[in-house]
Amino acid sequence: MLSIISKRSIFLHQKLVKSLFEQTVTRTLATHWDPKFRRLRKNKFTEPTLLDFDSNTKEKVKRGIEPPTSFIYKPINITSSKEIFDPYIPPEGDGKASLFSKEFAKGAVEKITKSTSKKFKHLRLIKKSDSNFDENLFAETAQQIYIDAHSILSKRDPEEMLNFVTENALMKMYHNMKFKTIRWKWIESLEEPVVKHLVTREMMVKTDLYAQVTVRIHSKQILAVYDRFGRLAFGSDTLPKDVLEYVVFEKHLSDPYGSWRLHDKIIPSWSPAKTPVIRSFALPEPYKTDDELEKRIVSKFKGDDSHLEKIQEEKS
Amino acid sequence: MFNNLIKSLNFLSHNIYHINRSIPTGLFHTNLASFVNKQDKSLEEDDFDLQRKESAKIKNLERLGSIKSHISWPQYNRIIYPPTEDGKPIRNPFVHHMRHFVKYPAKKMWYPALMIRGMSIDEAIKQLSFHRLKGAHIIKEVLLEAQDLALKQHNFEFKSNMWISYSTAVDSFRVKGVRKHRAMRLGMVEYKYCTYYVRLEEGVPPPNYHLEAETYEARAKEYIEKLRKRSIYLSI
Repeated sequence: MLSIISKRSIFLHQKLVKSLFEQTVTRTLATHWDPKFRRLRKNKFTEPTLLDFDSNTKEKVKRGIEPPTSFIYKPINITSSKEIFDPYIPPEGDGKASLFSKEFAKGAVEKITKSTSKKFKHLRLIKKSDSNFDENLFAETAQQIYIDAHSILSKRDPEEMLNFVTENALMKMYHNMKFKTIRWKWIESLEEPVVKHLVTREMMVKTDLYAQVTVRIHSKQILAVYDRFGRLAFGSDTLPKDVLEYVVFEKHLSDPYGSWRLHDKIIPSWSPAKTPVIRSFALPEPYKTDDELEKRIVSKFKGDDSHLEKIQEEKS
Repeated sequence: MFNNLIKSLNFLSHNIYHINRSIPTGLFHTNLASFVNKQDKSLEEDDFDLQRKESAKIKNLERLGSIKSHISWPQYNRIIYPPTEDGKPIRNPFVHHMRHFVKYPAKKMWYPALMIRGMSIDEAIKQLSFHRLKGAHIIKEVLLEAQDLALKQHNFEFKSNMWISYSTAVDSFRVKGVRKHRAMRLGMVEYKYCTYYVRLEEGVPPPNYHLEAETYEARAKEYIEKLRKRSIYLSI
């Protein structure tokens, strides 16, 4: 111990020197009072080949060790997108005020989204695959899909849910629901469902087409969430609530087995605050986003409606 | 000469199962020289091959039952209890946590694990931070991890409203090595690993955790429950 004296520690040498009594007190009682031959005894032992269970594979790759290969070739089938094409901006006083009131007139003009002028062209593309597509009928079927999807949530079966829900929505609905029980009930609809917005987009190639439709649903529902041990965590089992939502449904048009499924919800900024969770909790740290990663991620869907112009050229 | 001895000892530790136990004392070096020349370089192993072999040994020992498996303990965290009409839970909420393959002997790890039983989590962390042994600091890390898990995933409300109802340390496996004694005598050395299991429950710790099992009434209850648990397999 005292043989290693560097330039830095010469100054502190007096502090490092302890009496033998102090040395015994700080160390455990299983050592000898005068360990003279500790260094030489070390040479009598072999170096054991101990395994690193705490280190990750990244450190091993730096040292030149290959990571274990468990690579199985699986076919990939892309049937949904991760985003909302050209999101619909709902007007502000929608659920509270009527058309002829002051509040509606003040700030509630329906803001024009980009492609409302091309609505009929998007409709034409949808009718190529679905000849019997009607807006008013579709709103009712969409409401039924919404009811089926939420009533199956309590069964905790993701394969059944994929009939009514896209993979993007399943990720958001199923992840935090795995270890909880949910009781959901649909009581009635307060207003008729209305289709508000239609969009189609291509994915990289002309023949890959996806369509999205936003529907406005105003309804009464009951929701109660119980945690792992059967304690109420959110909502109530008896009190219903009014719910106004703008739900997005998606379909893969170029797929013969595609169907309309629930994709995502648009939450406007003026929506009222949610009811609080029953138990108190400490706020977690804010989620940090990788800016470099997000720059690299580019959506494979075009941001334009340029594929609509080619329809007129074909006709002419 | 001494360096040659060290090299031979290292070789021995890797290939100890090839050598007979009865080594003649005078001809120690010449025998080893013959082994060294016959070394095949194609049999050299990477670190990952070694780890696969060791993990295969561990799996076999788990099947035989001499090591407790490290999968069944955290599976208790996935059980979902249904809600009741009263609102009270069927069972006191709990969290299971563990750390396996800790490089520390289980005999030493058991002492701080025993000390903790029945304590609230704040007091346990306080006591462990001033404990003499290295295993106590490892247990402290495991407890803090379990506390985070409970708050985020299992809907525990308060950080300090928990207590420890189960904590043990158990042998997992050993790696063998060699050391030299006074005069051409070898000795076996074992490098030991252990696992540590914990269960945290919500609420205030019970007042007489250690003394409950020692009263006559409690012992009689346990005996009667044991007798009533018995069942005859494959009976009508």
